[in-house]
Amino acid sequence: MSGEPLLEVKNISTSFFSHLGEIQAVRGVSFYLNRGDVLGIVGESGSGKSVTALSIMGLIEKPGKIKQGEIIFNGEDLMKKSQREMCELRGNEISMIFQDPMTSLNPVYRIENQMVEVIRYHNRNLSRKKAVAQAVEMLRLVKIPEPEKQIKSYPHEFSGGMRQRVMIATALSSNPGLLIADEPTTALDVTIQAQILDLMNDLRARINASIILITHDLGVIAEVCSRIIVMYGGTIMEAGNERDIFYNPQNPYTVGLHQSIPSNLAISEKRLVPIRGTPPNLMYPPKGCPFSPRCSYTMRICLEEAAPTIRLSDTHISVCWLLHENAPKINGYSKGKIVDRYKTPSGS
Amino acid sequence: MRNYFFRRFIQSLFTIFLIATVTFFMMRSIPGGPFTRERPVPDEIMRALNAKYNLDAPLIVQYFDYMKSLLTFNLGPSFSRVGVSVNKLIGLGFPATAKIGFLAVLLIILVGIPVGIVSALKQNRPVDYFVMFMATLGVTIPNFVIATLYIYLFAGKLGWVPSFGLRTPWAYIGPILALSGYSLSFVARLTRSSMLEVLRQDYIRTARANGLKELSVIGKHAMRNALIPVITYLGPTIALLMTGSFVIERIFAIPGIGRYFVESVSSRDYTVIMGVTVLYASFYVLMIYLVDVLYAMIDPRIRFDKEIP
Amino acid sequence: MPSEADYFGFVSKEESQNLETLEKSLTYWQDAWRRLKKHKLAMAGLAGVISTILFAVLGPFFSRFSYSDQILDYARTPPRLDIYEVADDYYVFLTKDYNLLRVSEKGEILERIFDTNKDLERKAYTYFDARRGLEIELDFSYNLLPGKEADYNFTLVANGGDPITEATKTVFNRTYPFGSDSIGRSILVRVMYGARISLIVAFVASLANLLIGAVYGSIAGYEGGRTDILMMRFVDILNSIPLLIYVILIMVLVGNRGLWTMIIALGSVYWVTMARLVRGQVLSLKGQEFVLAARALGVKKRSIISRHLIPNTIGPIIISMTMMIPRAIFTEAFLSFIGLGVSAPMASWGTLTEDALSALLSFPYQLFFPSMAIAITMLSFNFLGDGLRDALDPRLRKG
Repeated sequence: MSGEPLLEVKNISTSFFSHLGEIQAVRGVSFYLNRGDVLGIVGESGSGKSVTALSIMGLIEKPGKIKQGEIIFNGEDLMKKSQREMCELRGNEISMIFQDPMTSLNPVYRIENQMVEVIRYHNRNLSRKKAVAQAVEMLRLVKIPEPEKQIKSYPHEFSGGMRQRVMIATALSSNPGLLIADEPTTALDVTIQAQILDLMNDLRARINASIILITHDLGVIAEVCSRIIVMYGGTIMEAGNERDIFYNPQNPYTVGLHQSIPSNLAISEKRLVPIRGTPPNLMYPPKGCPFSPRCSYTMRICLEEAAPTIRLSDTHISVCWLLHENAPKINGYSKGKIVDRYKTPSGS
Repeated sequence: MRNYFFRRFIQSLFTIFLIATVTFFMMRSIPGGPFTRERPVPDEIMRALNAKYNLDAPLIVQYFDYMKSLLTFNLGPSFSRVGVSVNKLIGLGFPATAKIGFLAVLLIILVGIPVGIVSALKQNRPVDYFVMFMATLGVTIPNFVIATLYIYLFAGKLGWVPSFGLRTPWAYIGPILALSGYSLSFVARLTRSSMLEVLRQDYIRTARANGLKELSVIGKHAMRNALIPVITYLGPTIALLMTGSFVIERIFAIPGIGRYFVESVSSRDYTVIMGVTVLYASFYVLMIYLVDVLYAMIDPRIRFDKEIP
Repeated sequence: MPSEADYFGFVSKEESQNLETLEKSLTYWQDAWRRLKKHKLAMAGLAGVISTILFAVLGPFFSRFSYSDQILDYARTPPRLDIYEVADDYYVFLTKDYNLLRVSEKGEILERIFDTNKDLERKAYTYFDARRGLEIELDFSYNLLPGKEADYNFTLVANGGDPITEATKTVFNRTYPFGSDSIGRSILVRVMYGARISLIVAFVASLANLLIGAVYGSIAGYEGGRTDILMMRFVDILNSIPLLIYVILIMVLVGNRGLWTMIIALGSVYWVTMARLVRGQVLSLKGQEFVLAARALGVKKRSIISRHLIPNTIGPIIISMTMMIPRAIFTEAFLSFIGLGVSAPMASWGTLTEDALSALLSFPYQLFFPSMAIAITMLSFNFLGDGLRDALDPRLRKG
């Protein structure tokens, strides 16, 4: 199963049109995801990772709009699908769970009601009784104790971790091919975080789903992802597998991320180095590289022109002028070939 | 839960008791008795009157007597209308008041809520702007202005409806519109803003991400949450509308309770003022109680062990 | 054109940092003012509020009438006058009570021309201006011009000349821009004075509500525990009472009707909402670090409440105030309307509306101006309140 692409995102741009102007949240993002893989998207808040996910789900609401690009899922372009067809797809073939489990469940309905509604919506022939049985089964799968009893609870009677388990159970109840998890552990305690990540890893193997895991936490990514995308300012900065991103980062932003994370032993420097400055204002994105105002190696061209996509290996690309053959040589950064930025790299 | 309802009910009864007590002593502390007239009444007659209405007894005795008769729903005799009991007066006025009030409530629920929802779903479109414009006018223009303009236009200039009374079905339109105008607009605005607030919630995004149809997202998941503040507002409002508006009843010359109340205020008819106040307040308190009950049934997050959040 | 090498040259830190579009940091109030300025309706509301206040405060200085000046001869003149030129440069206006007034061409009322003979049977009145020796005959019997009944209301004949049926022109009433009432008082001036009364009542009552509510709420919120439960139980009880009735009872109880009675009645009853609001705010602020720090430093309870807690709740309080003022204006108008307001000859918008009601169909302008004044003021405050809510408390932003 593994190896063939399940999802291909080609050069999508999504903007929000506020009365103050256009906020270009995502600007030309391309990536792919193979069946059975876990793709991590990492970046600070406002880097466009969540908007990318919502674009895939077709959940960009006014005043937002996907301006361009293709989203190929299972060989079909989701951008061409009607709202109705997307409804069929959502929660059925692509599911999504969100950051804050405390607010992501409807407070006025019982867990049972909410799960059964989703299950029966995607499988209309199922009797209510069987749907309840399936919901209980899913709750058991996500390790909720006494699921027969707990299913009668209201969301406020559950802890954050429990609610996130319910969210996962609901999302997986229809055996989706793709699960998008948007910061699923950010709002949880550290110990619960580990449990939820374990659970997701475990379930992926069991039901053979692919996962896109969105997070700002490199540590979370390291534990579960086979491929990693680093985003900044609405664009992709670097993409590669775990080894590429953690042991051979080839983008000043990725390096900066590593250095600003405590207890990261992969980087030899002991002192924490914060990235100075603030993320760009996406209403007026910088002309060149979005990271240029904060970068330690800003060249004139970085301010003028968007950086090229540079291939470093079969698995590894980086979007940075520093890797251009004409750029000065900096210790730790290698050179590579410019590739078409909209073409998805093959293999993983 | 049942325990909670019971406790709230006892509380409501206690509130009514307090209201009756406070009203009683407020009325009795007004300088001048009910029989103080421009022309002094001879002492003898005054004494006889006071004796007849038990006004010569010590205040505390009068208070207990009044409370006792309240328990049997007997509001006593009217002072200014000889031989008419307060119960009788209320019985005379209540049907007209309640009819108008009920229709106004119906209009608010059947028009205000749907209009608010449509406005929220069509946010920043012409429909929304129109509805919000009308609703803003509705909450800012006082009802007596609406009522008088209505009479001037439709009864006076155009002559389509009678300008007073309730003799034809057409005559109901003006009082109902004027009575419900503010609340109707307020409910539309409240429903809209509450709906918009709810539509931004994470669980709505979850429902959409789970592929549920808009009908279910709006009709099931958003609606129930959005209506919680609306119900909170509607409870006391229904009580107020059902007990009528002094102004509307005056402008349209409707023989309702409100009119008797205003008359009794100017003639210092204590028992009528007290009776109507206690009746209004009881109705109001009971409606708030009902809202609390309904609220607890709609929103499972209400904690029953403690009402103060 | 820089060479390729220049392109790949490093840029100094200052230069790259300068490119960063750093937003200027604004204080809370600067930011709020900036947001408020963007809110068109709120600015319109602010303009409306300011002009209402100016109208009330300064307006009466520019008028030669006082609110109680009455000229019975000039009763019930509308704001627009149909004037008839009955002789050369001699214009008259006929009121609905068949009073004949001599007016200037521009619309100033000059004098009343008294009638010398009223023949009700013939439906003909005779007026005589002795100084000019002008006799004007009014005929509303429709006998003078048979067959044209539908085309005119009355005919005027001056010194036996041709009958005049059509107004020479329609001019604005210069003497009484908003018209005059049934005893010849200027409605404009009365609306101005009414604005004073209504605004004073609204401001003072709201301020009283604010003070009582803020103190009560902050004490309940700060003390917490049993005090809080008891205090809030009392508020709960007050909240489950139809307050309007109590305002009326207080008005009856206090007896004499005047400005202060009204202020006391309104100010003592409607503080409940404010108390709840402040208590909620204080409760959530209380646990925050700066309050804990102040307590740890041994700051007294009173100064914690007044220096730390109340200033931090000022945003919601202001919003609530702007919403409370129009409600007070409304309640004052309402109470005056049912006859519990200020007593004559003083006027508030409510009493003016009430006065106009009896003659609504014949003299609608008497209702129109006070009603408009109420509506415009309420609208302005509401718009301003909406805008302030968006500006001061972005979390509450609706829509």
